[in-house]
Amino acid sequence: MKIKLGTYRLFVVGLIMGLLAALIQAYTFDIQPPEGFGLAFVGHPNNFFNWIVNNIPWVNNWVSFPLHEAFLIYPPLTILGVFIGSSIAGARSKELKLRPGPVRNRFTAILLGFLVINFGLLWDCDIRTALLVGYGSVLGIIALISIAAGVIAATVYLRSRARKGAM
Amino acid sequence: MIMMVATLLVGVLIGYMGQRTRFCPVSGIRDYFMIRDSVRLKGLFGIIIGGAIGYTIFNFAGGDVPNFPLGLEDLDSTGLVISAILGGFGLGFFSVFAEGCPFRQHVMAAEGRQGAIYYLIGFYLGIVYFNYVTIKWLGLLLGITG
Repeated sequence: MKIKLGTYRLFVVGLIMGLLAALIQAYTFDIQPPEGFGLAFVGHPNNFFNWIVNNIPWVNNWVSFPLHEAFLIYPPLTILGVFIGSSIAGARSKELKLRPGPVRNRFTAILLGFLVINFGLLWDCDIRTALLVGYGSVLGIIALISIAAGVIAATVYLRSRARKGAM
Repeated sequence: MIMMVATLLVGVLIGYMGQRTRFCPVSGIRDYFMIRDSVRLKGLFGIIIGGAIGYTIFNFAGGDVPNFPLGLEDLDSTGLVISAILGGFGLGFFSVFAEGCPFRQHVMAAEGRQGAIYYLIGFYLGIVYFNYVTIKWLGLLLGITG
C-alpha cells in the first residue's frame, strides 16, 4: 500500500525526525545535557570529529578538543548513519554518482563550510533549533528568528546582485 | 553504547528520508521568502510539531525529558543570547550561499555532489579552527556579558 502525502511529504518527514529526536533523548539516557540534543548537524559532527581526534593515540598527545559530557566515552554516530542512509537512497534512485554542484567553485565551497560551522558552533544547526522550539525554549525561538533573518538577508543580497547583473 | 547504536540507526533513517525528499529547513525559509513556495517550509514545522508531541508524550510516559518545557530557563545569560543571535544569523546567511543547511550538505556529499564534499572539507577544518580560535572569542564574549 502506498500512501500519497503530496506536498505534506516533507511535513511528515519533519514530524518523524522530531519524534525520533525526542525518543532517543528520552530513552537512551546519555545524550544529554544539553536538552533537545537528539538530532544536531553542527553539535553531533563536532562531537564526532573531536572524539576521533581525542582518541587517535599519536594525535591526542598534543591536542585535545572539548566534548559534551554525554560523548566522552562513545561518539554520536548520526553523521555516519546519514551517510549510509543517503547513499542507500541515492543508489536506489540511481542518483549516487560523482557530479558537480551545488557550489561550483571548490574554494568557495570550502570557505562556506568553514564559515557555516564557525557560526553554527556559536549556537547549533537549524534542525536542533527547531527541536528546541518544540521543547518550549524561548532562546530557541530567538535563534530560529535569527536563522530566518540570515536567510532573508542572503536572499535580498542575491536578488540585488541579480538585478544589478540584469541592468 | 545504546546511544551510539540509536544515533546510527536514526541517522540511517533520516539520511534515507532526507535524500528522497531533499529535506532542508534553510531552503524552506529561502523558497518561501523568494517565491512564496511553502512546500519545503512544511518540513521545519514538522520538526517543531513532532518534537513538541514527542517531548510531551515521552515526558508523561516517564522518559528522560528534563526541564520540559524550557521556557525562559536558558535566557539567563546575555552572552548566550548574543551568541545564539550571531550564530543563527551567520548559519542562515552562509547556508543560502551554500544552497543547503549542514544536514542537506551531508546528504548531498553522500550522493556524490562535489561541491558538498568540498563544503564538508571546510566544515571539518572549521571545527579545528573553532576549537583553537573562535572558542576563545566566545569565552571572551561570555566573560564580558555574563
